Amino acid sequence: MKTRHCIIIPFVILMLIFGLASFSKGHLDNISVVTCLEIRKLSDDLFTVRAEIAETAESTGSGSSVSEILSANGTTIQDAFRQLSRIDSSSIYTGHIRLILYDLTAAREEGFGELAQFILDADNIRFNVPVALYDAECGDILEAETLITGNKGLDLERGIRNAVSGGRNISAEAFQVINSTGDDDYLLSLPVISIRETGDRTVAYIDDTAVFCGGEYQRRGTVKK
Amino acid sequence: MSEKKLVSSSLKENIDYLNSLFQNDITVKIRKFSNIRESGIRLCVFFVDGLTSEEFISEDIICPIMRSRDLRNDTDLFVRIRDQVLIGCNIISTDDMSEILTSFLRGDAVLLVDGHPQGIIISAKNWTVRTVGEPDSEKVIQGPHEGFNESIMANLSLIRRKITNPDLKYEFFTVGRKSRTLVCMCYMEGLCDRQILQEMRTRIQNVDIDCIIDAEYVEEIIKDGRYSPFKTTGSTERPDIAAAKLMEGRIAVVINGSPVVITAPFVFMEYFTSADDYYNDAYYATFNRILRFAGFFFTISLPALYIALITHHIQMLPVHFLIAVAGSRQGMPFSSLAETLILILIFEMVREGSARIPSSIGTAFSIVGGIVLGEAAVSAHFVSLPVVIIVAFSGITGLIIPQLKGPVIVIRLSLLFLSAAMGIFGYFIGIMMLIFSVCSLESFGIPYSSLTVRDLRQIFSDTFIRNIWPNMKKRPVVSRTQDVCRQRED
Repeated sequence: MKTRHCIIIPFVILMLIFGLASFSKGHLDNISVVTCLEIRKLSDDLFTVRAEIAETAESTGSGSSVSEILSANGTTIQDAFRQLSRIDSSSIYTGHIRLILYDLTAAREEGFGELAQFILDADNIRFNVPVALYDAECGDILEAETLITGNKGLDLERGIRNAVSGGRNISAEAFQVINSTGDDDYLLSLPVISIRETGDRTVAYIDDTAVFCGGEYQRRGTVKK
Repeated sequence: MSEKKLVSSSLKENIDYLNSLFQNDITVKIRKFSNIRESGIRLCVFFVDGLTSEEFISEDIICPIMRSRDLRNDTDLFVRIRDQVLIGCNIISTDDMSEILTSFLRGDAVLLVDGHPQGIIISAKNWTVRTVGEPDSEKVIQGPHEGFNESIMANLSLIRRKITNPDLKYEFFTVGRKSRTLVCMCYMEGLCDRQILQEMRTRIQNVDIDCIIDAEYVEEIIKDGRYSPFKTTGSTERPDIAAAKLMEGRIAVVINGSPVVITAPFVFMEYFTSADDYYNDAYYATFNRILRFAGFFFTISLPALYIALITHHIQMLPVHFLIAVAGSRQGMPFSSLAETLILILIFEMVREGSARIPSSIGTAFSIVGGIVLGEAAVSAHFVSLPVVIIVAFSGITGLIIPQLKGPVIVIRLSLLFLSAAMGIFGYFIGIMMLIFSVCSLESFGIPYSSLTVRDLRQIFSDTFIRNIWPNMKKRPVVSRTQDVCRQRED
């Protein structure tokens, strides 16, 4: 019995110490939950990363939430994201990103190498996160009005899913973007989101598709049922 | 009382001895008297006031002897009084003073005759006992509503009324060096396994404690797995359950002064059964049994899984849920683990408090303790809302199986700490330790993790579900009975 006590008692004490001090880096109290990441290329050596942070303090139990936008510039996407992390006092948590928006112009001109590298290097971005292109010339998507939850990332992701299930568009996920960078014959189609003014409202449309082959831009058009 | 002292032939010596033993004890009554015709016949009857019927002593002991006209002060006097004068139906003569004292302290009257070195023990017990009411801890909606009380004889009679069969055997022991408590082992001869019976007999005989107040004393001493939080003997306050277990080939141990009857062997699966299961229809009973399994899972796992998920695995949470939980955690002064622990302790304190307080203020206590305190704690940002919901649900589901309340709190806290330290990995380590702990236990040689069925084809007989009676033809395997059939096989 004494031997068993000798094993159990230190074990229990360790559990108490580790347990009571269980504030991990990713603990809920210290994180900013990113729901949407927008990556834009401003010039050759300047990227802007904008993150939509779900505003947890004002969230309600009904699933609706509001958000705030954080923005930072850097010479690479990785660098811009690092700058972004410095702005927020909490730890930026990307495990629940619902949508990555990438600049259509950057994709057409330089492909997805930079984006793929960023996703691969990121700590916890899931490889099944939907990726969409957006036409930066049309307007600012993250500033657009959304009608469903108030969170653009969640609403746009839902919009893409609805478009895909309705046969009006197709979806692409992060792993497909990564795969497309190493294969010259890889055919990648991504939904393109554009902003249009409709009356007094700014509305996001998800009816366009851009097609790439081996990272090279091929064409843009709509999906036919 | 350990050395054998014999009854003296001198009445004076015996009375002096009793007086020296019970100095200043006004409950011990000694009544000296003699025969009307033969004044040389001197006798005394002694008894304990409050345990014995004074009316019986006056009318059935003193009066017949005092008025008897046929008594002669000769060598046959003692035998004649015992066989021809005394009216009582339960009379024993003995020369052992310790036996006399034990019987006297249990409420019997003792008659001593001057010149005769023997005493007559006459059963004259008459004390107030609690009525045979339904036990609060094992209420049923449908079925018998009687329960054991603190009198061993009343309890044995309740069992005998259920099983009117000469195979029902009672074996008595005196346990407790000072209390000398009467303990009775009941079993069905022919159904009960002899090895288990002998093991139980040995364990009861080996109980060496000064005093037995309740069945729990014996239960903890005779149980297997002394340090395990799980019980390896069953306990019930219902004669119908005791009788049903006896008919399954198990042993029941009835202890004087306790309304709780111990049954053995007992396996883990029996925690999830209830008397109600057999008094309601099989479908409803099965549903309730599944609820009990689910309740056990929820009560031990919910706080641990919540802490594991929000501390170590937030990526597993759906985003809406994550945002809602993170929102509720804003501005909380304590870590999730600390607030969960605080709430669990508050819940257990309210539960413990409400179990002790008078029922008249119980409702107010529950409202203040549960609703007001919980609401105020959330409003004051003392604890977050999801933790209140998790702990309240876990606490309520823990009450589904009252017999498991001890193990549940140990398991719940262990899993909580393991999950807080190591996340889901820690949770599963805890669950594995729980399974190992259950599988390593035995109850009187029967593996504690045994299912109650005889083979796997009967797995849906009386385990996770309760089958209909026509399909439960065999007795449970846990009693190792040789007579396996309780119904005629088709």
